[in-house]
Amino acid sequence: MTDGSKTPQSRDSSGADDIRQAPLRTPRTVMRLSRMGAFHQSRLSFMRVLLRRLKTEGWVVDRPVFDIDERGVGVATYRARGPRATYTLVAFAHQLADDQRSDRVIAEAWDATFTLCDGEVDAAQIERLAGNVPQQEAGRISETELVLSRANKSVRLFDHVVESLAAGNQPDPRMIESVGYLFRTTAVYGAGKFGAADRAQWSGRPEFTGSFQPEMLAVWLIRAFSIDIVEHAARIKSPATAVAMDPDIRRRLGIGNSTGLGMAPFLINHPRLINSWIAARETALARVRAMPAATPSQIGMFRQLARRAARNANDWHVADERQAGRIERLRADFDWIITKADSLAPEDELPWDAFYRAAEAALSLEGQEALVSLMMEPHAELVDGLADCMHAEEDVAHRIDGTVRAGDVLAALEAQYDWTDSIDYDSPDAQARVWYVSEEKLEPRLGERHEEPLEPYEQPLCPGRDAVRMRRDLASFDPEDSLGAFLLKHPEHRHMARRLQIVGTLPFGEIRDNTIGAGMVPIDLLRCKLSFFGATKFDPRSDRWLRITMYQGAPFPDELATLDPDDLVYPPLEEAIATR
Amino acid sequence: MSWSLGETAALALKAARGAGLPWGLAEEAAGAVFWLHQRGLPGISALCGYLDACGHDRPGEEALCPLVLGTALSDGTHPIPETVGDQLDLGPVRSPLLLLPFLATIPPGTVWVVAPGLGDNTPDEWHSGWLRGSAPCTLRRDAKPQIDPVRAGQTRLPDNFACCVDRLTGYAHRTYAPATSQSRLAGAGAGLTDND
Repeated sequence: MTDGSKTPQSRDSSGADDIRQAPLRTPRTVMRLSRMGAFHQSRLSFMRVLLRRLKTEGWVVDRPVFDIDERGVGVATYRARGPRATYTLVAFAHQLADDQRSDRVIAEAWDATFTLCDGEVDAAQIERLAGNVPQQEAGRISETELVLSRANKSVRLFDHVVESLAAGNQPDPRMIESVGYLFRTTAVYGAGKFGAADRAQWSGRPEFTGSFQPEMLAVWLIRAFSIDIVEHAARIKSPATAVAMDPDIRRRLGIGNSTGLGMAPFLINHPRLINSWIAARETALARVRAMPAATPSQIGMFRQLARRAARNANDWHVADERQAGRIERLRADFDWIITKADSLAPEDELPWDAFYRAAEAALSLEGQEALVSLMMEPHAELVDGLADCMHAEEDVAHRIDGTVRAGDVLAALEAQYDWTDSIDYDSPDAQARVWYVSEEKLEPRLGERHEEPLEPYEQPLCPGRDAVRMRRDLASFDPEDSLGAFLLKHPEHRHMARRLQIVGTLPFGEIRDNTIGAGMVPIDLLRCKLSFFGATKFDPRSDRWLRITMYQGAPFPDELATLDPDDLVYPPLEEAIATR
Repeated sequence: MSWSLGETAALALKAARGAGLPWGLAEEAAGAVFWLHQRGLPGISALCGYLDACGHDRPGEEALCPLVLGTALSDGTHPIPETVGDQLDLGPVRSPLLLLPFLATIPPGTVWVVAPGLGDNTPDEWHSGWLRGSAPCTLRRDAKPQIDPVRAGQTRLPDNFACCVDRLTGYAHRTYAPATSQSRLAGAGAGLTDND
């Protein structure tokens, strides 16, 4: 079904063009919102890719500036130095009244604001940044900055940790586990936003190979800041008795993130990038499934990680009914996975392929995708190099080949968008939603087409519907004439014509679902992207925004040299047994 | 403070759409502005001039839209001079600087656009008529590109374009839907409290 030449097989850094590979799962199977909304973090997730690289290259982090007063207000810098480059996170700590603390992107004040700078920073740069970074979208940064971000406290946990540490005690691990972070970011902007350096300025740097690496570095350093500021508050509160946090407890604190519809259009607007991500993940799965046998050590690792991943599922609690039901089912799926893992044997032929095939019949989509991620774990040598393929340059004005026959374009549309045949776009439900940008918030929003006067403001985020419209007009156009002639008559189809020529070469570039239908669940789009980041503990707060945790369990900068970041993604097994 | 070219192109896209162009042509406008500023040429001023003038020609004095003409040229539906030295009159074209990125996509990238007093000197000496208003234009096949490829290294929009940024921001604003009581409630999803 899928053209093997479009996969990253021969381009990754594992250097082996002769790696065996089973057929990829088809786009028809993978590129559905229900499945994409069930993806989990994996070895290919960008946080893990970053930490592996930082560890391998021996990056060191120090804190040249920590000028925070007794109210918790001031500035700190975190300098990450690697073999070729230095980056510095500048963190501004603020005092924020409780009634101003909002995770909405429209907030105007935060507990802390951040920017990741290219290289070292001096006092003059900090002064310039102090006049801009705390204002976030209302300020400006420059080409020497790569990322702009802000975060709010989880006041409940922050206060508990301060009280505990100040009194000389460690915080309650159950409370740490139930919240999972001291700060949650409400936006992490990169790639040219608000004056930051464009991606093209740094995308060629080896330390940023892949996707979102500056953003992931910034968040990892923000996590270090979140610990420093809570320990500082405890010392201020009681200098004589305050203690630092125990490293094992500390590691269970990640960074939270609230994400809403602002992120949703990304997957639709970046077809080349999404294709590169999904193709890498599917290629990894196909390589694992092609393994003729499993070694005892691979089987042992898989059994252990399956149990530890099951603990993650047991600790995953959400109020959202849809997700709570899915997690309940996932826990049962893990029982199945663990039982099946225990029967794996070195003499089994194509054991991973058999495992996956059985899972397809037995497990929910959550369970199947959790298994896909788990099966990659004992196969670093097959999987990790694929991370180097997970990037792409989008071109909003990609040149259209206007010389192709209109008849051929119609045939290509019919083939590429055959999945729209089952959707009746004339029915009200099929076009129930409209993506728009609100004047009040300047953010993407989703409205009801038939109830609000939003259609004139519609964003082009419904390729299926647009493909059907273009097919209708092409069907009555001279098939021997050119696409260019068609677009001269129908400039309204120019966007779709360009998209067709882009996704026509990308097996995984297009979501094969109606993105404006009444039944569409926007957080499926968010979860897909966030799983590639490496997020865990997806916590839907409505059908349109969710909370996640990043870097929970990961080593801190002072532990990176001695701990394995890939192993720490899953919680330790001993505690899992203790809490059951 | 300077702008990144990425956000400049994103602004151009929204502005062109806000001025009434279909999305696909607005994307061409964004691409053209990006291409020009990479080469140190004032694309954002040219787009501003074009959007301001769009639809305001006096009857009988209509000038061609550089985006429609540009895409027709790059799509291959408009004739071009085929051999070096050949010329082709286009008639008056609005903000003709915007034609350059489209002509550059036609292999091997050696079709020039010239107008009286414009185009035969170096780009830094070009008349502001390339940015605003219209000029009777001619296409000419040359032996080398009109814009030297070595110019294509700029990464920022200089500060002195702040006025154009403001103008385009005004057009971009037209793509934003006014809030309604229903959209305030539902647009982003109310959901659970975010302050814990």
